[in-house]
Amino acid sequence: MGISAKITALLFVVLIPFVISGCRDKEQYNTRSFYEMGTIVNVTLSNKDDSIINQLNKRMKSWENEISGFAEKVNNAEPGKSISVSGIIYSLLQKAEYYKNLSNDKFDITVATISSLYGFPEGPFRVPDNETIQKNSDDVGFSNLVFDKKVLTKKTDLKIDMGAYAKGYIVDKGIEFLKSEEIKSAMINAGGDLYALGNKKNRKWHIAIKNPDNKKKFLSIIALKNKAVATSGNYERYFEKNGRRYTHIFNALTLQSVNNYKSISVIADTVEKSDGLATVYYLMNIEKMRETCRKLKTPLLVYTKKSEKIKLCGWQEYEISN
Amino acid sequence: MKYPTKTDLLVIVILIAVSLYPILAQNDSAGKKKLFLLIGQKQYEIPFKDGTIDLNNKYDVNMILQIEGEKARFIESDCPNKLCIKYGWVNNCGEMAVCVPNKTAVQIKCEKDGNIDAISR
Repeated sequence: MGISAKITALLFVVLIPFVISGCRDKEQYNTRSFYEMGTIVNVTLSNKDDSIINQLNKRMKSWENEISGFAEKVNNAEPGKSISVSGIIYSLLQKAEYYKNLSNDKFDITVATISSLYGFPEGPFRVPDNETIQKNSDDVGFSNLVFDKKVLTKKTDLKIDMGAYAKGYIVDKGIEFLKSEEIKSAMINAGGDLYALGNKKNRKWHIAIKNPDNKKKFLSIIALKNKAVATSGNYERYFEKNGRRYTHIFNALTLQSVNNYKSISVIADTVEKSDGLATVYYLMNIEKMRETCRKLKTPLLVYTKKSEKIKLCGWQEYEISN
Repeated sequence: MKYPTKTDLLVIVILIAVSLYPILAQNDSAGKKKLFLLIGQKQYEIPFKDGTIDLNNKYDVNMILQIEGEKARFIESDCPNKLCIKYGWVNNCGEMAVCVPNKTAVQIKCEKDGNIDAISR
């Protein structure tokens, strides 16, 4: 081989990587934020789809207003008074019943009658005296809500909070809206409860699960495509009084705040399901969780108070790092 | 003359090294860090300059931000639960401390896409 042929061959070798890198997709993703549903919502979209963000924000705000407006009406209404029910509200009430049955009555949206005495969800927080708790405890119970597709009345002076899964429901509706606008790749993340639509460029979306004990490490990193993940924990919405930690999750049978685990993360097909199940699982022991997640096919990661990781129902299959 | 000579080999090694540079450079770290305030729907880039910033002066929220090196944290806020202060320093790509009542967050973003797209918490 002559020298010039050798140089030509080498030039090709040299040029190929430049060509490859030059051909790489120039598609960029932007993350935009707004505040809704009592949290920060981060929406990640390809720059070509960026203009949809204002419409998405507007829609999510109107669903949020409809849901929180309904809860407010229920909570302020006198027992026996009729409150109108929309399609969205009816489906949320049905989900409340589903989670209640799934949890053997430990989960109940009417436990807000008691948790609100502690100041949840927004604070300021306090520990109510036993007398106050006793006085209100008979009002709790999903069966004290009488509803159909049109109207709801409450039989007792109870309060409701659908926060455990309503936020996820709104994210799901946001994703449906993006899909209807032909968007194939996006992520909506409402304070850690999120949906990953399609792929991000040529790979799945990578989601890290926060380690409440160490900001520099994660409990797990998973890859998702057309899936949701949500986390419920004892480390964000809580307060401490006299050495005891009061979390925002209450058991409707004992009417007590529960501090069972550091966190539970759930992968499911919708954020509403991930979100709701993370709370329902939080109320269960590990055996009951295992049994339930097998039935529902929802992988989950439990981080116990002893800082052990327990992976159930195929969590590992989504992991890219742990 | 016998091929390849030492000079030939040297040239080949240098050329291969040069040829790999564009690929290696792209995978190099997450790039430069930038600091952002997310207030309402707007975002403002803030330079990494050691010191404190009273957000009341410019952005009309009663909070004070402290910056040190390439990290930042809230040290004062008029919100009831002070979650944004409890969060502590924000120093990794994508990390943020959020004050929902004031619709204000501080976030570090990195020039190149990191490997992690979101954190579930």
